Amino acid sequence: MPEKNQPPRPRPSAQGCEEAVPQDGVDPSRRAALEDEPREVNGREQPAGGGTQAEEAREIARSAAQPAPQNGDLHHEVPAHPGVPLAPPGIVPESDVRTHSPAAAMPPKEHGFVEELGELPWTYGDGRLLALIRDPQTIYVYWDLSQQQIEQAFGGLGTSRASLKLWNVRGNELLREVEVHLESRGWYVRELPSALELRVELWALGDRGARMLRAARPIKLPPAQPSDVLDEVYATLPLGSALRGEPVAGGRPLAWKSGGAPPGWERRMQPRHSSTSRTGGQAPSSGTLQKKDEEP
Amino acid sequence: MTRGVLSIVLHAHLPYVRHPEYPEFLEEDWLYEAITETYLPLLEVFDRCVDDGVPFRVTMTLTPPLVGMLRDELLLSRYAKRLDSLCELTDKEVHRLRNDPQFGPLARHYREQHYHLRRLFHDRYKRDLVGAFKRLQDNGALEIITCGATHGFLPLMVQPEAMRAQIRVAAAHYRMHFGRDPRGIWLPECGYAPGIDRYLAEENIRFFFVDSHALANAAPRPRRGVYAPVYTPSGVAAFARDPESSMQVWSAEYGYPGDADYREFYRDVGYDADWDYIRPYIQATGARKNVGIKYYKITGKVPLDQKQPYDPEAARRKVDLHAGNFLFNRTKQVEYLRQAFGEGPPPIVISPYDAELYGHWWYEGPAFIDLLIRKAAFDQDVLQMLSPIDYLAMYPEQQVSQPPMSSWGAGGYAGVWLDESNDWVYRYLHKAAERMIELARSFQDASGVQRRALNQAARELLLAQSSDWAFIIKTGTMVDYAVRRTREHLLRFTRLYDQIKGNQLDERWLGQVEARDNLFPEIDYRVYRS
Repeated sequence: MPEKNQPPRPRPSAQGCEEAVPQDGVDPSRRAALEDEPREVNGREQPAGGGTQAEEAREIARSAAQPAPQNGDLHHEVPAHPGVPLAPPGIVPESDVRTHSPAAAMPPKEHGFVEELGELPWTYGDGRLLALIRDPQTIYVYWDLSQQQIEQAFGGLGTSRASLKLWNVRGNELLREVEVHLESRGWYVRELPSALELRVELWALGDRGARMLRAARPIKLPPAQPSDVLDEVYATLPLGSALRGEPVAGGRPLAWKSGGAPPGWERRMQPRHSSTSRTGGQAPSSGTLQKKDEEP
Repeated sequence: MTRGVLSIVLHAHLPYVRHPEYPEFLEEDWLYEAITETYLPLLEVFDRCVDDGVPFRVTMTLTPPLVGMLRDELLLSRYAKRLDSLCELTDKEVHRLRNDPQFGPLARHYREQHYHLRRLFHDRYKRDLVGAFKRLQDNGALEIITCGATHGFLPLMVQPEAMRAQIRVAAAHYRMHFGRDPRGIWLPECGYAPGIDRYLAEENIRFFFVDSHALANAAPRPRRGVYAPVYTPSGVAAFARDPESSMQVWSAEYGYPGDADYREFYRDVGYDADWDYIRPYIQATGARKNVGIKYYKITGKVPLDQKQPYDPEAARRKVDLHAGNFLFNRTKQVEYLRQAFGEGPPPIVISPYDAELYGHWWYEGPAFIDLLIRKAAFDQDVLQMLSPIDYLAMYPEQQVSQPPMSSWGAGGYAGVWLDESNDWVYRYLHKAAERMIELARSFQDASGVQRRALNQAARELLLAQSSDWAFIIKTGTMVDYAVRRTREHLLRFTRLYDQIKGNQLDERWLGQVEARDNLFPEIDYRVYRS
């Protein structure tokens, strides 16, 4: 018969554990060099790989590196994994973080076919500068520069620093300049105006001049609010006619013009910045049960 | 009179996990658990409804990695052994609890259930679950849609060829397994960005899903909100998730699965039973794990040791109540919307869920689907269950609008897959995609071993792109495995790239890698040619 009075199972302590696998997949000795870099500049922009979430993730990774129990006294350990990993946390009250047994994820070598694949390179030195959209107000910019490229860019500039310049493509207006640490290789720029088309440049700025190292391909931030464009264009696309990837031709006003979604629907559909699950953190617009005359 | 449409969408997906190099591998359990707890029970629900003449339409994603695993003989044979082992354990449980008036009946319940599942797997479905789902599509009950080839999060791919390859490889895989073109797609994580619809149109895919705010912020503003699709500029329709019906199932606070009468997921006999007794059914290392036999109900917000015994009959009554409540709310919602819409096509309510929620996380979930289908068919005439493709066939005239970049992840954009914990992967993924495109352009018509190496490079890139790895790293549950998978696929890709470029192919190693990462045997690397 199952035990009815089993004590809660504690998470394993991280103390005394070594990280089994580099959490970011790169040479730990190279990563360690970064840990002396400041993590925050002005409270908004932060270098990549830092921050509370990253620390938490590393902590969890260290916790997960607990050796597997070697004896039969196993009643107080944590579950090795919570099963299918893709359902949302939070649907079950006890959905606390469960750790994964590294003993199973890293099988013993005696089973064979252990590839010596090495480590991912620290740099490709291809001079890439790329901006990725995280959300309507945040971009992540990363770069990949060789030492030679860096030396060439900063040579002769005297006392110098690296900086990201963000331009509003429309009007070619300088939106923001952010000092960055090149060694961090990536930077988050936050609190940007949404729905803006941006061009990002990486500059070497010194006492004796300035040089642009790279310019990233422009990106367009998504809007964070409903569109002001209310023109209504309709198209009729029977399933029997194949699409070709070309823009929908024409469009016309529709015969039925009355009615629409309940007023204010756009505001209720905005995402909430919840830390849970794939629901996007949206709250229902009414209670569980609706009356007939309530808004859905 | 039908006044609206309800579209239930179940997104079935698991990352491709297959480790032939080891006799047992813990992460393969994800598939085995999902077959036992979700896929077989859902198949049975659907088949019973068909057998009983209950009319219904459900839309279901079967992602390419999942289809690949469900058609993989190694994984199927391992699953069959797992099921045998579970049946054996349930026999022991019946014996162990033979004199227990409280848990004895539950033990018998599990034994009957597992023996029944084994008969379903071997006798009814002949170990071919994909074929069983296909039959349900062929007879009109299901609309099976595809997904990105490896569930790659498209908005964070910078090369158009990389996005197109995720779509094109998935469409080809779908045709191979389902014998027709996919008509719809579940964009991985509902990740959309303007322009992606063009790649869908190239495959004649007619619809996809976005989260609610993608239509709320679309331009021009959609007149009918999230209760009608919009045509994107390329003509592919975007349907949006209805937040209210999602909340009724997903929400930790309001959601049905958290009801006190339902079975408690985290109280499992794999942890409760004596170690010596349960030893043959847990990990080979001796570490405990869930085995799927659970004797307690959620009870309430109490510690695990204070959970009360599970009562299947009480849970069944609650499922009936919840299915009725869900349907009642949808009918009221549809009536209200119909009134607001006035003339024109009726409102459509899109209710999408991860399929694995039903059965795996929410044990009573398949019964909920069963009762919902039956109640929708017989207990009301306000709404009709249809697939989005049916709606487009009936109402081909829709508004044209451009949704913005968006996803269904927390925050609504790319924050789950791009944050301080997982941002390091993108420089490597982008470089690998760039190199794959270079290879496809450089080697126009490779043959023999060179062609095999190029195809394997494409597989490794696709597998590295799976959004599951970044998601797992972010959520922090199985970080080491997700990091390992990302690294290994990228490193294998790089080695293949170097060998191909240097014309120094290691055929023996290539054969080993092909045998291990064997998804998409039909792949043609030239999909990366622009």
